[in-house]
Amino acid sequence: MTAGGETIPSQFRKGVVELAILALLHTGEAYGGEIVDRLGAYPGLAITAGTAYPLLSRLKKSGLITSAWQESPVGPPRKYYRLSTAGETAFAGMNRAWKDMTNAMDSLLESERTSD
Amino acid sequence: MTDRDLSAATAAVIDDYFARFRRAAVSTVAVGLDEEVADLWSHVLTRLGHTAGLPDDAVRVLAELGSPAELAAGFADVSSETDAGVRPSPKLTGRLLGMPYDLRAPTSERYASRWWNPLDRRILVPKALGMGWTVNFGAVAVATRIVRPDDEDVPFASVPPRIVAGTLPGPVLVLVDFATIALVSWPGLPARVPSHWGLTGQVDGYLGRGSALLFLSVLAAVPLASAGWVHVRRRAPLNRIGASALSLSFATLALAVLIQTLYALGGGVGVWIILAGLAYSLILPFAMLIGMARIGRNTEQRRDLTDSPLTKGRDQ
Repeated sequence: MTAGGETIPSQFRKGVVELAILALLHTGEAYGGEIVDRLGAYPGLAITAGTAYPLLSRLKKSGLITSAWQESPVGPPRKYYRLSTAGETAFAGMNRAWKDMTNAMDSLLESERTSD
Repeated sequence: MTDRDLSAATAAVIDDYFARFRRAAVSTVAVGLDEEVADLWSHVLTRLGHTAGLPDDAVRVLAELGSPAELAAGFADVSSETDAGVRPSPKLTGRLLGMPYDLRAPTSERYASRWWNPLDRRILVPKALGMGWTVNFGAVAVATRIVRPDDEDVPFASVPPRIVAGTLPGPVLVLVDFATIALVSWPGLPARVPSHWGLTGQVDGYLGRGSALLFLSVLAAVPLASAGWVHVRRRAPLNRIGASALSLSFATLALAVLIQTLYALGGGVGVWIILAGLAYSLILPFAMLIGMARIGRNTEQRRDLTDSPLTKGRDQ
């Protein structure tokens, strides 16, 4: 998978990044800037704040995540995001689907390669 | 298996299926489907090759494709994805020579969300009505780090109702100033008054005083009347505050042009009053929108940080 999104259709990438955000929040709550930074650690998943916040807003509207302000040990309060119960369920399903899909794609791409 | 190997009864089952498929598809799929049906026929024949080729086998194989309606819906999905944007329906919104246009009947929601959308990074966004771009003050506020994109879950949704209503007196006050000045100065106005200025500050256009005042009154009052309507109809806070901010902008501009007219009549040179008016017609609504975003954020914070001491202590 190539970074930057140019080589990957944007709809596809958007879906993957959405799952990545859910996966990240599955491990614990996080605030907006933190989500951008932590995804930025994976070259293939790096997104700008301009992409992250609309996605977070959409996930929140669809009820998969919730948000609440919390005091920050440094500086002003931050808005933390976390998975809702519906989000946990959706994430479990998407996680399974993703694994099935990647397994299938891996073996498909592998057999393509060996048959060349 | 080929067509000729099929019994008439089996062929009839398949024909019936594709006839129903074509009927279902005619309303949803724009393109002709002859090629697709030919492909599907050969798919069905191949599958029947492993069977006795009885009508029941045909029913079973066809069931794998789903009902004719489902299959047609599947093709409709694909064709709408590939045709998106080239459909020749009359379009009220789109681009002309690179310029965005929107000719749909305007809504307070569209006006407000173009002016204030901190989630959209673009500072220039397509106008809510007409051709060209308008300023997304939300993006300006984010770019200047005055607000964060997620300061509010939904813009202005947490702003207390009386403060939302309290945004309307701002433009009303400007309109009252406008009306007062217009009424006081009216008797002393000559029949024709300056109405247009060149970039150098020279008057280069005149209007009858009635027309000039009528034009400015419409500029000031119509947006305010619309804003009043949006408030009366109890639209969403974003719509109401957006309408207040927009009418504040127009009323400020009208007031500035009126004062500029009186200034020019008094022998004043230069267009600095209009220029100041233009600046204020942007600064005042921007300040109003930022103020409301702050109030909304603070209300959210008070709700979250005081209501649940458990949440508060979690990070420590």
